[in-house]
Amino acid sequence: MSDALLSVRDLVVEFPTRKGILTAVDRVSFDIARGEVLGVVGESGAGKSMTGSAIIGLIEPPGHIAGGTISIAGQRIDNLPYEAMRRVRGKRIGMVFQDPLTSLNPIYTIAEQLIETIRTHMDLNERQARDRAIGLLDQVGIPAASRRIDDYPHQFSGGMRQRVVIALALCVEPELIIADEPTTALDVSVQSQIIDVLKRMCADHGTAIMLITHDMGVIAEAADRVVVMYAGRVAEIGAVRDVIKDAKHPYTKGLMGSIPTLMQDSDRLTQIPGTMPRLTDIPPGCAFSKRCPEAFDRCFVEQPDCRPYQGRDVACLLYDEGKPQ
Amino acid sequence: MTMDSERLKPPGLWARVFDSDIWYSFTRSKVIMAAAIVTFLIFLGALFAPLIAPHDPFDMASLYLMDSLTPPMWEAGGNPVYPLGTDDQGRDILSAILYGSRISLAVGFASVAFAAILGISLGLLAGYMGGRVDSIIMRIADVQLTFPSILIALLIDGSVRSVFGGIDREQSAFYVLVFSIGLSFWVQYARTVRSSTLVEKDKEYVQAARLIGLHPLRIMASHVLPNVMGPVLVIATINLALAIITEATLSFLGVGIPSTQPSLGTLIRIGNDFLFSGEWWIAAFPGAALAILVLAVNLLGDWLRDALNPRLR
Amino acid sequence: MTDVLVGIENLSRDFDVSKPWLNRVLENEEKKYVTAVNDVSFEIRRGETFALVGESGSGKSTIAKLIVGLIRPTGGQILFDGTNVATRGSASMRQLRSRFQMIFQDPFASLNPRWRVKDIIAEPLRTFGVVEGRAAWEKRVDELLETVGLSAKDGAKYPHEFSGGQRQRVAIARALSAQPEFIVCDEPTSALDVSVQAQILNLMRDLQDEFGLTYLFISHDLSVVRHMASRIGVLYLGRLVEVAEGKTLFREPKHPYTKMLLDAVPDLEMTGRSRQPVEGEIPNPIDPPSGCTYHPRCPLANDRCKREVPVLKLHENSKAACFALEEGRG
Repeated sequence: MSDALLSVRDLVVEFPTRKGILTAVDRVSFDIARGEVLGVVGESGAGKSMTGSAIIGLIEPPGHIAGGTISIAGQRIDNLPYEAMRRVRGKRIGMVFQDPLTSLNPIYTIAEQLIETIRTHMDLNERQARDRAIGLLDQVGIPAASRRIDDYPHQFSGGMRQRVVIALALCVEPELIIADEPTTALDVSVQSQIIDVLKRMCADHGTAIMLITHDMGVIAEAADRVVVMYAGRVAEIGAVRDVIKDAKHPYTKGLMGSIPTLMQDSDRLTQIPGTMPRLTDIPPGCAFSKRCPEAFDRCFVEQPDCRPYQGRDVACLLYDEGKPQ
Repeated sequence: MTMDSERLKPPGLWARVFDSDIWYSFTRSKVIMAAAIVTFLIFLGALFAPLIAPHDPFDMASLYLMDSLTPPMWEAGGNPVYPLGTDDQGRDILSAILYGSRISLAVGFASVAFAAILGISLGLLAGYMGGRVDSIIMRIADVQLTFPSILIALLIDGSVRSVFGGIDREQSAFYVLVFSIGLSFWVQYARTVRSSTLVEKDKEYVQAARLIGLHPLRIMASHVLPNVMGPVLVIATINLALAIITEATLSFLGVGIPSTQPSLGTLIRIGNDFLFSGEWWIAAFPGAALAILVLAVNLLGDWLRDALNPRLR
Repeated sequence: MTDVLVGIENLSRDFDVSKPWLNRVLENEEKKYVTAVNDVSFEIRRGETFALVGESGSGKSTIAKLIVGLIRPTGGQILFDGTNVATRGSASMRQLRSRFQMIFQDPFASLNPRWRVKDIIAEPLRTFGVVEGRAAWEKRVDELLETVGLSAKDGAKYPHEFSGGQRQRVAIARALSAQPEFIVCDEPTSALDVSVQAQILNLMRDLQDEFGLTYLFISHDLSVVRHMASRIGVLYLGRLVEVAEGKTLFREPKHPYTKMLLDAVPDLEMTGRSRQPVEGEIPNPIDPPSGCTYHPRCPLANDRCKREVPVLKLHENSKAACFALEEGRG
């Protein structure tokens, strides 16, 4: 898609270990359009955070991008030198992490942190930057913003801090925000507030969001499309409504069945037998084959590619032409 | 429904040792391997001193006063029977070093063990019980830290001697020394163990143990202790070097091991008197032996600390 | 044998969060206390799963620890099978302790990393003398491992060799080993992935059926609680604001806070329902609002709510503590 904002193609992230090469992200491809909210969902070890880190260029060595491309508006960013990447990060891509306590520097006031970021990427003087910062804090719903801007991070509650982090991420009008588990550390009532803030701010500023989370509920509320990841690979990509109500990949089906909901009144939750394989221990063929109720002989040998099927992308041999019926 | 029952038998102990990260980092450094070999050799030498030493330097009857002050064998006037020369009483320096290392190492290990046991127990108690007990123990520790260890050792040495005036100095020297050196070192163990205990005490596995009504001492010993022992090994290794030096210093000052059964420090003291009259070997070789031993143990301790530090791995 | 296994009456617990003595003297400050649990009363009937739901600062974890005796109450009492837990001497306390157990939230911290799994599971067994002799307890540990879905061979391993879900199974096996009647489950699946959570929840229900267990299930996740519990208590800042049967709570929530909590749960059914925007955040427990502590966030608050503290009263099938309900406004 040539007008996609972010384009990830066949991304591979590897970690050399004493016991061999560990593939944390295995040929992952997806696009994010301008202004859309893409959810990336998966359980722990699925590789979703690693994908986010790869896009921002913050993978800890000895891990590295071993293949594939990442582009913003057609321009490659995965092969940029450190300085150039640093400019992209912050200006074009903003970040919101899980723990607002560690995302904000505790020894500086909110004003100092916001103004520093604004003035690094924009040509404004101190007064103008401060006004802009106050405006942003207002938008994210911090009451009495012009007074509270001079407070320190520890003087805010968890939810308020996360709003500040969102303001910080948006202050230089990035084109994309990568939010890694932004609501996980928050109470349920605050979670819904933060999701609302995130959605509203990004709609107002036209920013796209890559929302990484393990919580399907957050995806249902916030995302337009979703990428489901399993063991470092993509299982399914599609519109949120489609994937949730009518999942195609057996893993996604199992996942949706195992989530308890307020409406459901059944006795047992669907459970997928076994556990996600460790990244050092992925079986040949399809990573999900050993746990899949619909696996057949090819599944244990061939790794399925992510192919289009009825309006979405699925990596499953069941939807491959030429499968035995 | 069983999961993961296809796992193989867990690997044996030796397989795990040689496969571990620690062994890996050990074999990567030539210096460390050299230090380990040296230490090992010295240990062996000290252990088997009676078997391998050419002479018994403590047996008064076997000393020939006529052979006293013989230079090392490669010098003029040297004698291959005494490879490194003899001291003023006719004792073979090489044998004296071997036996002396034995005593130095024995004092070193014993005092470290004493300090460790005392420090770990007090640290566990302070960390787990908290409150008054913690405050008292830590204040005592703070006070003690303001004194240099030599001073404490001297103090205790002197006090013991005056209190138990009649004791045979030679017999008691070893125990007094171990006690005083150990007493000056326990604080480090106590502090580390205390801070680890503070962390572990709030963890759910300790709560699970309290839940079934186990006695606090039992919980400390069987649950908390295994989890706070990690840094202790590193401290102990580094302490060993320090303990040996401290013993040498005390012996040098004349308040340590007496000269009838000299440790390396005592030997250096003896040799010191002859240094400027030309018989340099009496001080030099024990001094060199001490330096090598301490260096090797120190290097090992450093390596161990880095190898066991999870953040550096 | 009465129907009520655990009775909580006017339970309260304060924590001293004052600054150290010297600071207080120099800064001329009073001692400060946080009331984590404030006059809470409820019952748990034999064989049921009673859930306590709340967000941070609600006091649910504190209540869990109070019930099993890890901390002492500052007020009120806890009755286990009619006996006041606090007044028991240590001998009879030991007998009592064998009848309840706890499963903790963090599967990584709840097992001693230096102990083998079989020793961890056997510890309650051996402490309470349920079986005699090594062969007997080893056999029982093997059985327990199989019951929770692991294999007997796993007994020789250490906790770090297992995944989060498997460790939680070990924790469950440990909780079962002394054959308790009552298990307090403090957020047992919050740290687990969703598909693993499903396995553990199913396991817990099967075990409850098989062994006739009574659960106190503590969670912040309403969907999980819906699935597991027969009766539910909702906590806010240390007070119980509503108690009801599961179905009733979700179909006809009475207290404004309960309604807000339900509204905040994400819409996984994709019904596209509109959500009432959530007001405010949980206040600081050191300095709670006056009267009904929910009043700053409540759309139905009036003057009385700011002055007086409501108590639990029966409204149709649920108990709720709300003046708006009493006055017919809610």
